[in-house]
Amino acid sequence: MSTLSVEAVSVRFGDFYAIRDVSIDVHQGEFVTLLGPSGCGKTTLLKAISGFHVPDTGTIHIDGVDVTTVPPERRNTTMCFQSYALFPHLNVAENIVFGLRQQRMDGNTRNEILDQVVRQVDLGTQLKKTPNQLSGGQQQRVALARALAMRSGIILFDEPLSNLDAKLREQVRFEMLELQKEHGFTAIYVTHDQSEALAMSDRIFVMDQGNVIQRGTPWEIYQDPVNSFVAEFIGTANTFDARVLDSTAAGRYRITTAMGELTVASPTPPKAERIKVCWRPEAARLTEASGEDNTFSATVGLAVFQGNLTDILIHENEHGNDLHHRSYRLQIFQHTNLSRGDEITFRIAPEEIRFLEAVQ
Amino acid sequence: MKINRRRFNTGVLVAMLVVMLVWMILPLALALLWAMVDPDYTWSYPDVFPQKLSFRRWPMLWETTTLKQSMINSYSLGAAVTVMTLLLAMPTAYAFGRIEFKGKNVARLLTLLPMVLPGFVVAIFFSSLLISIGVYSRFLGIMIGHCIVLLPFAIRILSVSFSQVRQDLIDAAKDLGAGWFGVVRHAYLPTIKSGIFATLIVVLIRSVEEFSLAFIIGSPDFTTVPTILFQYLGYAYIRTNAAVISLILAGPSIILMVLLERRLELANPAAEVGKG
Repeated sequence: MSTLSVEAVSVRFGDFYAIRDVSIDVHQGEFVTLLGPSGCGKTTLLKAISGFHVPDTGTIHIDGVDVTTVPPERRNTTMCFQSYALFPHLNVAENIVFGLRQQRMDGNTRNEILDQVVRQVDLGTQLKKTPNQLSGGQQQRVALARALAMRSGIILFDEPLSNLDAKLREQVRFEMLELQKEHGFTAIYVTHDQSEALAMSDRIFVMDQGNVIQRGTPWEIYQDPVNSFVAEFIGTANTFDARVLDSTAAGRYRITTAMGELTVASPTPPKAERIKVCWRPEAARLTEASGEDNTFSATVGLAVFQGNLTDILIHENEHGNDLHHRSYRLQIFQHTNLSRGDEITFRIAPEEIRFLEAVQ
Repeated sequence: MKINRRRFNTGVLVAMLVVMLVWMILPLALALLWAMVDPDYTWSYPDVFPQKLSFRRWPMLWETTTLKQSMINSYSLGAAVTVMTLLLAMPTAYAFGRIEFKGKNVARLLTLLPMVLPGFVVAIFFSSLLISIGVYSRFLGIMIGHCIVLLPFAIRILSVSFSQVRQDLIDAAKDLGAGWFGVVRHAYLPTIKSGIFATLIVVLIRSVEEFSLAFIIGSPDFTTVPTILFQYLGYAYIRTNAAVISLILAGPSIILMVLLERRLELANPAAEVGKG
């Protein structure tokens, strides 16, 4: 259980800044996710925290101690690798106690820890096997057990679930969370999978092009994305270029978009007159009344029934001022059997529309 | 169509095997035959086979030549050269296999240069160079010479081995607190050990069989097995004795090659890589 503080850290490869001026603070026992597309610098940041990259500028403190230049073997962090990085010539048990052996821990204590973590990750019958006799999921467990055995204050996860199939991934996700709460270690988790980030994190740091562009709880990130990149990367969003017409009341604005005119209820005023706005597909509700604000009629372009909801794509080509061809997405949770060509009327509540960044 | 193709493949395989057998086995068989010609009976035209076969020539050569001392020379040289070459090749191979730097291709080409130079040319100038820098020991002279000539092989084999070492294993070992020794033992060694083994055997065999440097630097009094062989070739050509010496020279090499082959099969790194 440790705290981590990264201050103004930059890592440069030649002229290229992999991360630039990144600062993050992680509390004791917190589960945070570094989320971003490939090449955003999240793995570089993780490697700086674990000691594999020495930052060009900035400092890293763990539990208040400056570890900026401390090598990985002497840091109170343990890494869980994407490739698992299990030693192929050692069996499962030897892999798990590898780190403890390096610490010259006595055999009894070592076996106690081994027994405990093996029970926790459910690997009891596999101890004598070598890694290449295990399935991907089992290898992942061994990697997790090896990290747990180290009793580090911080465990760093580098996309640990990306090599598992979808079903297993969801299962392991919950198991990892339980283990984290039980052991109480601080977890820093790198992923490009937004659903993983939303499901597991206490807080998310969204990264792009070497910078942290938004930080907050999954709720905050999803509900109030700071810009269209975040809005579209986390979940799905319909983003539009809009022009603010006027403000009808405090916190209520009228805007015009490619869809038509909309009313927006926002506690924060728009940053500019020409601005990007977004709303989530699930914000749309089918309605009978057509007189209300933010109510639109459209033809279903594509309807995909998902069981609990229906995904609808609407090809917009006749409304609004911008004539470029595009489409937007609705997710209808109401029980209505919709198919291509149906005429629907839907409403987007003004509170569901967000102002994003100004249009460049 | 399918069957024809299969037949064709089998045909090619059999043909290749026959060619290889003729190529490999026939000379060896002939050498064995020549080595077993009895000293009291000659084998000459029109006899298809020697009149009498015996191993009498072998103890005779053992007693009348410096074969014993030469074998000691050859194999102690071989062992020393092998260890030296391995130690010298390691850092370069590591650099070629694991570090990206400017001019790597040029550097790699330069290290291969000794391979293309004719042995005698190197040997003649190298022997005078040795004397001018004050190396008078024949053993040391030949050893240095062999190291230089064999380094390209060692560097080549080892750099491939080094490049196959997985970076994530190196990182994992360090991350779990392993020091220098632990990282080498658990991240590097399992992958590069087959390369080390291959290097040891290739260098040993080539050093033991090397003639030009050993002959020019060693002559007249420092003999190795190949230089004894030379005595029975050329001017004083005694084919029977030459056959005996070549077999003595080739025997250990063949055994080592078989060992190497088995070893490489067992330690196939592809089988160890696992997923990811």
